Amino acid sequence: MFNYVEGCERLRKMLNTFLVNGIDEAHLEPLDDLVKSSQIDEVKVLNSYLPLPQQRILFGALRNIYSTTDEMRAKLRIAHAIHENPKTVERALEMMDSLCVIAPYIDESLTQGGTKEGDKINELSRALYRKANRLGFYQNLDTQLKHAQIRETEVENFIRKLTENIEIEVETTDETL
Amino acid sequence: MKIMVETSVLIEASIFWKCNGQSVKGFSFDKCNGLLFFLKEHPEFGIVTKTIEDEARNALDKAVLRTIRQTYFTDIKEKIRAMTMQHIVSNYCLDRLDRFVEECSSRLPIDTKERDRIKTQELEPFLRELVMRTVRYIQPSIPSFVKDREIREEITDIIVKSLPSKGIVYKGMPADRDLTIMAEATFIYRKNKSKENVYIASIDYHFIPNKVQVGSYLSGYKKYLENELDSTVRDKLAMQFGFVGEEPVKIQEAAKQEISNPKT
Repeated sequence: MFNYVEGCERLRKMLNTFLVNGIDEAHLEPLDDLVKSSQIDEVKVLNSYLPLPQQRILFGALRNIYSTTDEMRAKLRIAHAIHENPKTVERALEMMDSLCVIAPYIDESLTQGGTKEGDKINELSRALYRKANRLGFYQNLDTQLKHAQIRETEVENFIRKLTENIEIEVETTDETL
Repeated sequence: MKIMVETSVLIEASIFWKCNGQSVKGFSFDKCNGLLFFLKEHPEFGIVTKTIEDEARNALDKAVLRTIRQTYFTDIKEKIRAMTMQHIVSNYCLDRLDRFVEECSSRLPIDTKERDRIKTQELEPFLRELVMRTVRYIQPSIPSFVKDREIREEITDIIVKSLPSKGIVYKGMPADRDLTIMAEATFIYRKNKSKENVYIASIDYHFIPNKVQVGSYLSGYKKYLENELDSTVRDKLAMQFGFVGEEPVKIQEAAKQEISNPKT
């Protein structure tokens, strides 16, 4: 099983080396590992017997790790191609705190087969997403949908159902009679 | 004047999707979004407390989960796609919510001890007493041997028309989170030494005047009386606790009026 704490530390080390010596495309393994493992673990979580709310929390966190690291890899490659070092690396390093802080919770949840700290993971996952978005390490909406092969009509249907459920949730429907 | 944006308004305005010139939104999206757009221009009016923000997130979370549960996954591939989609949509809606909170409101300090005291010792007993005398809808008493649906409906309409007083229409006891929001509004009102009007912008009928519904349980007949709103409970709450619950559009009008005629 992949260890996210170690994985993040290896990634930090790699970025620190890049900061001194420049980006080396041949040594992106720590990043590749995180991208690959988070994608595999996403499927494992959804295929598990965990309750749906827990699956959703863990999936969300892993998805944010996957999207962030995947975009980070793409951005580092571009930075290398245009000799832009070290701006992107510095930004990637700034990202590391958010990744490192969520990693132990992911490890614990995956090894113990569940978590009691769903709210905390949700909070950290959201913070990771916001930071990644701010630093440019998150794909835009259209690209995300395209990569996931989700059609616009599917999103529309989902939102339509969601608005109905929101009305039930905030009690704005007429449930009388 | 202070406008407290209640959970229902915040969340309704956050769910919106536009593609190929078509938009998907809730029934009350336009009026809720209109108020928030107005508050973006005049953030000095807007208040969103931590309770409201947290409740909005919780409501979105629960609604998303409910939507996922209504989806049937034929295989793991479908499940991955659906979960990815809900993840993208949730993030998008939460982004909108965060933006509204950041751009359209200020956050006033709330003394949580005092808020809880107001909630448990003042608001809750007051409302418990009040809701004992309210009805969810007006149902005239018609003998059960009148079985024909059409006749029951006709009699219902005639009786309702001739009623001198229709009773107080209210949705029933508000949930704990609603009581907390009401207590926070009361706290803000009292902290300003009752000098400033405190409005709660909401589309939840626990806060605003209720539409008057007439019906017959036996026949399943129901209809709303046109242009009739029962504001009794809302008014009593305003008299006792100071905050006025109202629809976003009406509050926006009141705020515009205050801007054009500022109090000296």
